[in-house]
Amino acid sequence: MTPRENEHMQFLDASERYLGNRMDLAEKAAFEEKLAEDPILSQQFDEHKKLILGIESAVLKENLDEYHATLENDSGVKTLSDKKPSPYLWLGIAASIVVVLGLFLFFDKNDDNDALFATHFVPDPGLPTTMGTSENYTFYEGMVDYKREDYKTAITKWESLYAEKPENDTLNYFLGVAELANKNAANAITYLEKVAPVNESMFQEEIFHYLGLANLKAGNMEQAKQNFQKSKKPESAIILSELNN
Amino acid sequence: MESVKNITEQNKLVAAIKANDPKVLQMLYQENYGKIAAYIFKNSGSKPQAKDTYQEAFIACYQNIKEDKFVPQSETALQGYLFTIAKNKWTDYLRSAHYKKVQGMNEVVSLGLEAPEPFSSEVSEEESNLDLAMTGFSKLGDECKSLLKLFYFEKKSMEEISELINITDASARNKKYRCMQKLKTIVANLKD
Repeated sequence: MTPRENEHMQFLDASERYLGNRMDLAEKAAFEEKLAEDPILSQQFDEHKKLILGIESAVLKENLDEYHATLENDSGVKTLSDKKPSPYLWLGIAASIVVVLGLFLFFDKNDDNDALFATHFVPDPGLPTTMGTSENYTFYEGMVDYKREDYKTAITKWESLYAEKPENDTLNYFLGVAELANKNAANAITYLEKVAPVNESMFQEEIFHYLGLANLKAGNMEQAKQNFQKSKKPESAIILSELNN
Repeated sequence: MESVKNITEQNKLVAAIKANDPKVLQMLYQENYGKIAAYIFKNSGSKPQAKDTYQEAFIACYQNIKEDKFVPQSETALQGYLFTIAKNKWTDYLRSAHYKKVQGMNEVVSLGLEAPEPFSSEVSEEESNLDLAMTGFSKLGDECKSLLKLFYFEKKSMEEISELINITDASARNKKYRCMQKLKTIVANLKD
């Protein structure tokens, strides 16, 4: 990189810090003064800002189709009409919730651990699914299923990748969470334990949190506690305190 | 006091949108589609047209929030704003030459729309620069796209990105700079 390019890059970095509100007052004032004095820099700043918004808009546009897909899958929205949904529909939904809740309470009444699991288990929201590279295609396809809560299909797709990349921490992590969401705690533990020792994994805290939940679900209380202790997530601490009470 | 609270809610919503919070964007998208689609269906639009118009409006709304052209003033301000943009876009489409040609000149189309205001959606230079940047981005290679997306949309730090794509911090920065220069060149060529 030439010195000129270097200088240009530094200016763009400063522009981004300015736009992201990451400058202190003195630096901010100095930057604004620089822009006010130099019309060329000022123009470059404006251009850069537009380019960034263009990138963000383009990515958003890619994401919209995905938002729309989940919308169309949702039968409640499929049959759109001008009218508000009939009150009977809401009554129906309310009734089903009561029934489901009733069943849930009936089955879980005597099982505090299961209840604790059910209260605290929230599947990882998943990764954004618009990375365009072809090698990741199957993975992100599975991610779309995962986000639609079709865990079975997601697991099938990811298992096909697992054969090739058994060490991949992202894959192990999401397979583990999907198995857990699919109520298969034993499989979840296998996947998650495999990557728990990977210190540099970006999912480190989550791995221990979900390992705690999987063990809780499987009734392995000691392991559950140990894993919650290792996770730094506040949710883990909450469950741990409930377990210790 | 209720309205103050609601405006605070709106401000939170706006802040989350500015930060590209994926959950908030998805929620906003999904919660408002029904009303807008219903309007477009009522005014002779099809399902794909409803989707396209809504998505265009959604992006325009997002851009205006990002550029501080929209400031919420009431409890449902943003939702109302999105609806108005979509409605205007659909009205413009119905008045457009393309639509009239499709419908045939002699056919009377009664839509119950307000008096026409020709050219109301004429694209300003500023908007077209944004469109060019969007088109330019789509022409970039996958590697640049992923990198710029992680940095500018997902707001990941350079450290996180270098870890994710397994290169050093310095080369990630370098790569990002090169990708931006590439995008600039593509946009400049599109302008010519």
